[in-house]
Amino acid sequence: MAKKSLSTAPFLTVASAPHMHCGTSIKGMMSTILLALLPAVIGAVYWYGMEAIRVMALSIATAVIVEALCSKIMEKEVRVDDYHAVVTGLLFAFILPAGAEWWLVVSGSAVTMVLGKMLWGNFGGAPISAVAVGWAFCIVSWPVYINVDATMLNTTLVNPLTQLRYFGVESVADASMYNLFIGDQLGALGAVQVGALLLGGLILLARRVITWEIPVATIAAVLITGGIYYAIDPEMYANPLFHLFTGSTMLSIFFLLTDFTSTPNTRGGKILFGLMAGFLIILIRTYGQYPDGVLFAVLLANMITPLCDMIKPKPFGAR
Amino acid sequence: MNKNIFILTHGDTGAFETGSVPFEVRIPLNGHGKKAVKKKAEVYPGLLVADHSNAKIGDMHSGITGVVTEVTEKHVVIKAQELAPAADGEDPKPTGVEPVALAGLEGDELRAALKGLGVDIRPLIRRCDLLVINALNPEPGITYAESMLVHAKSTVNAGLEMLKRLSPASRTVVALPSASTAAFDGTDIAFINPQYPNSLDELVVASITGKESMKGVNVVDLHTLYNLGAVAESGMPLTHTVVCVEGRNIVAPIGTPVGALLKEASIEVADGDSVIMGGPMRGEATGDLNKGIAKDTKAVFVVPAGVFQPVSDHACFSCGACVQHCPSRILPNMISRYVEFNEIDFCRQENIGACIECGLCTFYCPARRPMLQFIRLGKHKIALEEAQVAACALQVDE
Repeated sequence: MAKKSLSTAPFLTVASAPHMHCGTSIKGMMSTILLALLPAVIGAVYWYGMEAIRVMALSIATAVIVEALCSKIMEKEVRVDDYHAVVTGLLFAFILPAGAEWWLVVSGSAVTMVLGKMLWGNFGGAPISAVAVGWAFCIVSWPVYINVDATMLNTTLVNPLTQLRYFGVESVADASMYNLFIGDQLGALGAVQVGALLLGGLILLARRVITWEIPVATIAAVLITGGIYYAIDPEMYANPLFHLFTGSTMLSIFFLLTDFTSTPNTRGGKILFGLMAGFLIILIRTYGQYPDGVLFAVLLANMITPLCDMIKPKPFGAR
Repeated sequence: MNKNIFILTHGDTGAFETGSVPFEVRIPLNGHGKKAVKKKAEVYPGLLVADHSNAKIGDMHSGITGVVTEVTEKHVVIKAQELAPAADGEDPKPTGVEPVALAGLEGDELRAALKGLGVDIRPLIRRCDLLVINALNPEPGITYAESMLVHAKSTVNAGLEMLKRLSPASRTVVALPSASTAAFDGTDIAFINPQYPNSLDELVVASITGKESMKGVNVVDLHTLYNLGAVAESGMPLTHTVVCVEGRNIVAPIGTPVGALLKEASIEVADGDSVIMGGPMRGEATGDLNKGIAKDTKAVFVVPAGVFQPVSDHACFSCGACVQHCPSRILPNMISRYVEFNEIDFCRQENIGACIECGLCTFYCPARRPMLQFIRLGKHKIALEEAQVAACALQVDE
């Protein structure tokens, strides 16, 4: 044998190519989403006080504990340290009224995690938005307890969507877009912080956690479909901007419709998906039974995700 | 990490350094059946070490003076040392080989001579109409291309002349990074945006011909051209090549252990680091610092432990980063899942064959899934399946 001058040969790590990585991680993406949700959290606390903190904390704690428990029961690695459950719990709290009963928050958050995430296997298995699943469960089971107007009686804020639903368009005709934008409206505690959520969405776009296609397509569809109705009869239908600035629309556009697992991945698919979601939002608001049916629109749009994913560019060499 | 790391132009980094003679060389063999030397044989630069029975695969020669210490199927190890002087009454020992006059040779004679000098001619004589010289740095971090076009221009020109004699192509195009000032007499030039993955052969061809097809096109990279040029210029066997060691371009004997190269570039390797032969995007990690560089080893890199997250078995969560960055416009997220579950037919349906293995999907994957490895595994399984089908078809014919 040759005399080895490299006598203290170190143990090398071998790995498959490529040997570089851009540095993103699930934990990093989730942290960015939490950062993007921070303005809306501040807004919620400003408008609803300690009640909002109570709901958010309870929801997050439940989501984290349920994920850990489920992982244990399913004999899987517990991955709560990627903050994914925190994001889901916080987003679920955002669509609850600040006066929600504790058992509603706990059961809703648990259902969100169990039915929306864990039953589908690893993170990445769920074909539908978990938050919308939890919301659908709650609104079907306890329609009164999740109703914003029924639970928030001691407030001076006005819910523009119920006004529109039960008193017609003239009741919201003088609603100031600026007031709606800064969150001066009654609604789910986080979802109505419209301006803060828009800021958060821009943070997500700037940090490239989400891409522009779904938000832009959804906003376009909301404005176009809403605009068509408004053009038909402004006496009967609300201004399209009103739809954009009320209820859970902004939350859905930037945080629920851009959820990773339940939305398409190709550019064409994303645009079609966004257009579909925006169209459904207006349709449900105009003809639906619920004043704010945005989360049903999210659920329904999730249903066409596999179809949207079939819109893909031709591969290299096939052009 | 920003996109600047993918910029492939580094400017002229100066003339290539000549490395010191390594303590040993471990000449890698690739099916070279006939070993021309035995253990304890004394060798000198240019001496034939191993012969390949295929007429299109180059032979291997020693790059240093020394004694053969090991001969296996995989490599020939030569320990560097001064040879004992010839005993009284014997002829003086040879110290080198005579150059071969390549200028007068044509056709098969030329090919045989080049094969004997260690050139792999198979990739050079491929049937084609258009010959493309890919003169971009192949991968991020590799810096030899621009220096080569300045300081080793005569070698490159000699290689190009020789290549034109060998290749049946009617037209030759040199692909240069945009803003390059290199000129070639009698050869067309095309400019490529020097940003990875544009340096990959398929994308270079697509940029030049406007068609996403390799049909009738042969691509030869600058490193191969340099090796050919070194042989064509001197008529001597191919014993040295240029290797980019963490940005420093060193001319080293073929078979130099990577450990010796890293020592030459004064790079420390600690436990847990990865040593990569080839580029950081497509290269291969080696587990052995004694492994010798091959003729086509373009670079050696060290990735210190802990710089990047290790790959994980995390499930894909469809963030879409790979789809967004894929230059082949396929869906790596779906393909990697199909490979995981051995759904080979779905892989075909998703055009796994269109993948050009740039590695960007793995680079961008936040879940740290080994996407490229999955795709390579899928391609391998498809190839195996097709081979089996072909074998069955042959049996039916009989």
